[in-house]
Amino acid sequence: MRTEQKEYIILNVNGIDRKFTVGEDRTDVQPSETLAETLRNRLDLTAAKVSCDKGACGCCTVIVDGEATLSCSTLTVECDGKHVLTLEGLEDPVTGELDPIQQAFIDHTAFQCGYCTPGVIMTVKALLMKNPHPTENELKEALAGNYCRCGSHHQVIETVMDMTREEA
Amino acid sequence: MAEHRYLGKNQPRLAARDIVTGRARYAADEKIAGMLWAKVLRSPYAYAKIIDIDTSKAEALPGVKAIITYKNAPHWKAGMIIPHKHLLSDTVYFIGDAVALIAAETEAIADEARDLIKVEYEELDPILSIEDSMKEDAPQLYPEIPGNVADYEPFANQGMALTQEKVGDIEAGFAEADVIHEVTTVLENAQNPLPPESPGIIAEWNGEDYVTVRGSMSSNGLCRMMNSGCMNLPISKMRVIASYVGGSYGSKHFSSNGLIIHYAAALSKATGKPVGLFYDREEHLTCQTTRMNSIGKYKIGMKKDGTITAIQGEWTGEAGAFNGEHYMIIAVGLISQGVLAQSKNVDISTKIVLTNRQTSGAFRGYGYLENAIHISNALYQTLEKIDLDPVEYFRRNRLKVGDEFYHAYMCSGMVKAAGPDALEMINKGAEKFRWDERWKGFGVPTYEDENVVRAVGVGFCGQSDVGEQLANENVNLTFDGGVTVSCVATEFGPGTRDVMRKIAAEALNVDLSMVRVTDSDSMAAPYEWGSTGSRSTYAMGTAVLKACEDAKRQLFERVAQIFHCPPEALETKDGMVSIIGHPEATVPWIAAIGFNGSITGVGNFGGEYNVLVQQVQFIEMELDKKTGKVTVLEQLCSTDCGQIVNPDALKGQLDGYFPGIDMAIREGMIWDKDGRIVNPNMIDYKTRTWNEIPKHENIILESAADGNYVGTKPPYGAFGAGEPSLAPGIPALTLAIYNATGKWFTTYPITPKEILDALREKEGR
Repeated sequence: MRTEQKEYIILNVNGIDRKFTVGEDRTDVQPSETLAETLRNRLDLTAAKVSCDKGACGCCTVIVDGEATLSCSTLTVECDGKHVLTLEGLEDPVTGELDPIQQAFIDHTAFQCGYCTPGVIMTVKALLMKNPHPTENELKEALAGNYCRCGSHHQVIETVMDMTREEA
Repeated sequence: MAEHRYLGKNQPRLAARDIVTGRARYAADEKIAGMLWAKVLRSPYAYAKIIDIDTSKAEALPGVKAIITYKNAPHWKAGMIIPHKHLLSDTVYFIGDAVALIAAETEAIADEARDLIKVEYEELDPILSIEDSMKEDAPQLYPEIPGNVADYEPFANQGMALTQEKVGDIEAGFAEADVIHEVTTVLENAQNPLPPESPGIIAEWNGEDYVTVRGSMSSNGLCRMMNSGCMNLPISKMRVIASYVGGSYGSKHFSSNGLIIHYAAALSKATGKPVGLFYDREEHLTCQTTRMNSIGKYKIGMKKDGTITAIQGEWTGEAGAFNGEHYMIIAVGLISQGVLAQSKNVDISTKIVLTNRQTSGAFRGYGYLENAIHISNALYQTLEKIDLDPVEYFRRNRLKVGDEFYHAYMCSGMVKAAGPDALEMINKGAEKFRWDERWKGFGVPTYEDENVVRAVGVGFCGQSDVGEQLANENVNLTFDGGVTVSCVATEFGPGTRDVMRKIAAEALNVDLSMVRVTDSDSMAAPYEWGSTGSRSTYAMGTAVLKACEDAKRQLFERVAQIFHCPPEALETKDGMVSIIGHPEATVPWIAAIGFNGSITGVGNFGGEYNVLVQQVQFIEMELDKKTGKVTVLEQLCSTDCGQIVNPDALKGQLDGYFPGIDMAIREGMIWDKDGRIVNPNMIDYKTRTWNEIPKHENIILESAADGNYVGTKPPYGAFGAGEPSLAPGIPALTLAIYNATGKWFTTYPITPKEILDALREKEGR
């Protein structure tokens, strides 16, 4: 048995602390590894998709310390000590209860192929955490970096505006 | 209208919970133990000969498991009609063509190995446009395709005039015309279908020459039919398991250009391991398929009342670096003539040419979008000459029930339209959009001030392949009251599998939660094409409905023996069978099926080509007079789906209209002089963002809810309406831009600079 001192980082992902050594071995998080790679390949959290891999489509969006973040363009080592929330973390692990956004997307079929949906929901979640009653323009602006090709824009906007509208 | 338990009502779509929780597994989310990673070394030249290739350094890299070049590649060929594109050869045909295939233990090792391969090329003069491919001194790309023009004689010899249309006497027709006008339109956008998920395939070749392919494939049986032969396998030895598909729009049905499948399969065969090949976005944008470029020259002869006395056309499509399903794109596209420009005298000749550019292929609107643009451009300019409102023209010249139209694809002859009559969708759309009030005539804006000019436009399109091809589905009733629909429909966006679930639940009158649809696995369901060509709801739905009726017949025959009544006296609800009107005479399915038993119903459908899916779109747009920028202000889609199955899912399909309008004004691949695509990423390939979405409305009619069709009957009258949403947008915007600028554009995308130039010309500056 040999021992080696290695640097490590700790990410809190969906409420659980995850410790990773940093280095060049296959088991280490490499300094160049993106958060998307760590989430998908090491933690099996595959909801966030790597689509354009250039930060231009929003499919990889997760929430880091309360901010919508493109995980394909964020290094894992930068997230040391931070709180990462992914789509998987929105569902209550015990009761299975969904976040109201997820439930509203089901109720209104606010998706088609579903590939952009994880990023769209996380972008909306990050917006609503700061601004529970956005205007339609604020919502559109928040989602401007999320690429959707099926054309679910109208249904997502209607769904989110419907669920966040303040009761008169 | 019949009252349905599920049809036309919203329930959570099948897979909804998987999709919103991240459980839905797409190709790159699949995990197979022992999987190797594949990469493709690609050509930097549009046309070149490989003089030397040295893989020794790459092979020596620890973790590399196989490298395949033309020297050791299996003798596989793709392409139609005569296969001509070798899996790998010593000649490369476009920038991005495969030179070597690498499989390694990790993605990083595969990447590194790719960089270690040394290749020496001899550059050849490439063909980089449709015109150049037809020049006499043009290089001959493939010996199988002399003159670079695809040969469709083999089809013609079998009585299938797939790529040409001749009816009546064209000269006599033109002689009757009051006006004759000819327009040539050049579509060289090569618009990319650009699903958010790039293609991904995991192939597993076993020792018995049997391959299992998993991943992003949207059309199960079609994919097997078109690709097994390329790998020298019978269809039965290729198993396709579709993952969730992150958008296809045609690009992942892998009809005849599923090179990614062949590459992964060849590496799996070479290594004896499962091999995953996942294209990155640049490969997706440069090496997969685009919309087919084409040049269309159409001459229309018209009477003063809008009757078309003759239409003559030459339509030339660009296959790109090899020829695949393009004959089908052209054949389907010819339907646009019948839908848009009915005439007794028609002569349209077509051609498919090869170039050294990225291969084109299927994209939502399959040929009829392209041809609708060519024909509409000629049509609108002709209508201007007789000053007839295009909406009024559509009202007069629409295909009515019983009208004959030419159907090249599958029929190669005249087909009687079974409906629906488009009059109501035209009228309801025009009324809602206030067309009659807003249309001021050709070349007249609806509003103009010193900063902006606004104008309206309209587009129309249709096709009749919603019932295409044979369909085969099974339905299994289990003794607990459960139902399994065996069907290869894929989860790729439109909610096709959910349509099958609802049709089965409706037909067998069971709770929706008791119906399951098999995965899209060719080993779990009967062979058939799967989800492609708008056929799912009509063709597959009919087979599911028939399978349910067959199962119900067997069930009732057994229960009839228990009650000593005729089977016709029985009905079923929620896993129970009763004598109609006698609820006291009720038994559960298990009484007839037996403990541990099941009943299998079989459903087949032979294909129908007479029901039309049509859509009319109205647009108002605004031009910024200082920048030339087009802003779409308002957009309305009007269609008829026969019977709505899923209201919200169908709305989503129609809401997906914008790649149509953006083909007119924004989207396209851009090539440099060497044939290199210079915008293969999502920053430089411009698409519409959320804050540019216009005001939008849909009108969805249900004319067939009572199923009153001539000689055919879609399931519960439902035949779908999703695919045409892109096609009318381009003619609509072209017309609106004419009304605003006074210039008819015939090349795309129409750029802000061209618009500014047109505005300056109009103002005499």
